[in-house]
Amino acid sequence: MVEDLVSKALREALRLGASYVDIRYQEGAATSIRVRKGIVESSNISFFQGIGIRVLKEGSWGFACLDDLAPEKVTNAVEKAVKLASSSSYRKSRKIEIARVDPVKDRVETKIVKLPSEIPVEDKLRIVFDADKTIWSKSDKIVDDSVVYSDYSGRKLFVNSDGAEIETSETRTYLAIQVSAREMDRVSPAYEAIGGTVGFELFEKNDPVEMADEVSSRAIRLLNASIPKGGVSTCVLDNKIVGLLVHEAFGHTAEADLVLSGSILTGKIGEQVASELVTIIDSPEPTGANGWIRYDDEGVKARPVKIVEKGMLRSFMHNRESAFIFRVEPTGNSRAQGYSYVPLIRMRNTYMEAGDWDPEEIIRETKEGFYLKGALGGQADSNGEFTFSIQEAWRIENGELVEPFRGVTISGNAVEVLKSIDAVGKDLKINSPGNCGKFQWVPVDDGGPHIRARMIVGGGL
Amino acid sequence: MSEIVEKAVRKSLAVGASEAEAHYSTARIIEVGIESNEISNASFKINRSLHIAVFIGRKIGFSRTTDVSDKGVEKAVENAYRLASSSNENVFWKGLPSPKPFPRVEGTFDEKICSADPENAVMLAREMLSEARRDLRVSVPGGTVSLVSGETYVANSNGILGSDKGTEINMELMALAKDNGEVGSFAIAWEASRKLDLDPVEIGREAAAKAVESLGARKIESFKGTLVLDYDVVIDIVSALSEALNGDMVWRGRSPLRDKIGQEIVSNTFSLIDDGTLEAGLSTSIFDYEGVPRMRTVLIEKGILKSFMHNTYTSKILGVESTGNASGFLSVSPSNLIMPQGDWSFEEMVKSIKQGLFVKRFSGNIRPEDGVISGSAKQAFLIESGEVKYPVKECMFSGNLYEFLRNIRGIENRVRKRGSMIVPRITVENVLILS
Repeated sequence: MVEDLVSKALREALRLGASYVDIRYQEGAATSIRVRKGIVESSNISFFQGIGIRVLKEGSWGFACLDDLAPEKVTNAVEKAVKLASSSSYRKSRKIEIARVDPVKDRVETKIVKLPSEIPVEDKLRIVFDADKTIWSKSDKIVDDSVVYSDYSGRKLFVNSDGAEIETSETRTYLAIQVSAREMDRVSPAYEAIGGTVGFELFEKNDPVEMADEVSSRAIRLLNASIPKGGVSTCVLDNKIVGLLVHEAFGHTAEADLVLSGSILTGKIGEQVASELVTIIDSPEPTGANGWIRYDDEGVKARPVKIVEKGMLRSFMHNRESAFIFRVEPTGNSRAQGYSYVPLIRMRNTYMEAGDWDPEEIIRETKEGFYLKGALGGQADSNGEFTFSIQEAWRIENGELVEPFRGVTISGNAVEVLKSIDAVGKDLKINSPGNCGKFQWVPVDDGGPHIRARMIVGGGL
Repeated sequence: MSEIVEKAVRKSLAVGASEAEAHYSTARIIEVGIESNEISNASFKINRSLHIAVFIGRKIGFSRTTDVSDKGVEKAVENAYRLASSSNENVFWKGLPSPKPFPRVEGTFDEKICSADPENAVMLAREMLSEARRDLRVSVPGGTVSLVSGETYVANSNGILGSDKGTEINMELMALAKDNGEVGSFAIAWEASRKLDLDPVEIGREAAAKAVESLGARKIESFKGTLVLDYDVVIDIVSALSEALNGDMVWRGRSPLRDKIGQEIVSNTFSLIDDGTLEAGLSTSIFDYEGVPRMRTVLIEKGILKSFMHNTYTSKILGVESTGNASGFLSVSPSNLIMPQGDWSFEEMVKSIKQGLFVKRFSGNIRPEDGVISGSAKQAFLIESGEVKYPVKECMFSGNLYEFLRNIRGIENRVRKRGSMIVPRITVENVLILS
């Protein structure tokens, strides 16, 4: 029994002198199917299991993990973890302590209507084929596509030396569509993904064919767009770009570990960091969202964090270690990619709260600027400086969309951009399921309403 | 442990597969993390992964597992077979590769990494950290030291059977300098090697120096001038170019270079080689993911496009030979990329520039499909009248990858090894720099 193996390892670590121990066992199975131009290029079922052991000894962390669950190998890993903690504690100026948390015994299951593990492969293939067929029927300017269906079901067991025992079942389902169109030497990519902590019922609310139609239409539409000249502009951002802005450019700088290392928000609690119209929340709660969790990977009950309230910086996101340093309650933001990773402070579902503008009114009330839709990716530093690639841009003139652009990037400083916001829409959407990379990948979601702000708009020449 | 891959292939054929391929890898990883000026965690990891591809004619199914017991392998074969049965035909599939002799390679394995104690890694991290912190203005938000030793096994139903082992050490340190309330730009120093021969003091010193020299950045006006691109920026450029040379992008019609073999595509001072057998190269091995021998392939010679990089799948579609660049099932990646040195010294490069920018880090996007470059120059320095003057505040530069490569003016007469790439610094003319 895994439970016996885990509790034996826990006792062994304590016997070797650990002051705190947590152990995560995880097993899971994932299916993914990728079709490109009518051909199943890869269809894959993967299975994994393993155990991660984390110990605190002499004020230092040690961690070991393995996928071979033979009892003697587990014992050996426990010894390694304890030894690593001891050797890294030498000459350390700050001994690690963790905030107290009442241990929980609980069993969590995500509410799933249609378990993907009970859906025949043929049905999953049909979803992918239908989307792929739609893409290629649109135009002979489509040169490449990739339609990927994936699902995951797994079980996690968390125990720690405080007495917590949490078992979680997880199910996730996704569909991602990527399309490339070309005409002469002009290319335009378009991308869209849906999914989260849901089952196969995902496709009842979202029609894959409609989604394919929309993504390929966008790629074709952008072919005739030109590339803008650079400069500072007023921009109306759609839900997805707002999501990327509050997660990637701003959210990371409010993760307590980055705050401790010196981010743009260090020491700024209580200060104005955004326009008064702006409230930013990181929440584990939205049902079905990709970053939904009940407990984090330190066994802490996850709760929403109001990072910014009406422009004022209110709270950072914490794990037990940073919560101890800041003398606050842990927020349940400690997450690991899997059993083989040490949990880090990570976001869950990060979004800007809705305001009271009609999104169309924001555009109508803009004399000159750009309307930016959908993001292709981005980078940001802990000083808040960011660069994002935009899927689709329109020049706004006297409240109307007059000319499309492609190859657009935006950049600026997150705090400056948030401070420049003068309109916030009432159309909050959290609909950008993705994986956030900070040394490891965890599923997150982000979003917001349409907003208007000023930033640098760039493009190729 | 080659019996695991042999077993997987045998079992696949037994359930009715017409072809099968198995790939098994194990890794032993010691990792030490630095956060907020302290060693924050230390880990010891053992990972295993078995990949199986099963074919029924041209129908393909794939599965992965960490459970390599008899039962685990059987289950994985069953999964892959089931997927292949319900899949459709991949009309481009022309079969698995056949065995060919593997090359001899040197310098890919170091017993010292293999048998290293976690304490060794902790020590390296501590030395790197304390060197960077000698300057009181410097703080270290993060860093890592990792020691990896691994084994790889491959087998297929055409009789390929191979095993290889290798070691690797990676060290990375981020640094930030603060002085009189001013915060400089984020600096990163990193090195990787197959041997336990990296100097932690050197890396710590480089990170600190980069962080400090970005202090006092001034705002500049937009101008058109010459860029001097430091090693890490040349890597971004070469990486983007290598995507356009990737057989997968070529056969799908996505590479703008797809029909340009034999033509001059970039400056005639520019060459590029993919070499999977390079001594002590970070990506050197005796075979690729499919068990095809690694080799040396000239991709671009004096500006002329000579070859693309291929796996068996893309090479058979295009009617050429695999270049041993399989990096996963059906996927293609470079091994070690080498851009040969030119004949300019760094001093000569700077001296020849009236107005320009020396860029140490680029953050943005380079799209191989059309070459559009957009993003910001981080850690950049103004060059005026042949001298590096002062650090500048973040500015954007944009342009086109292929134009950049046609407008290369100078290539440095020394190269630096950066991970699996070896590159010199270069100068590029006529670039618009937007403040």
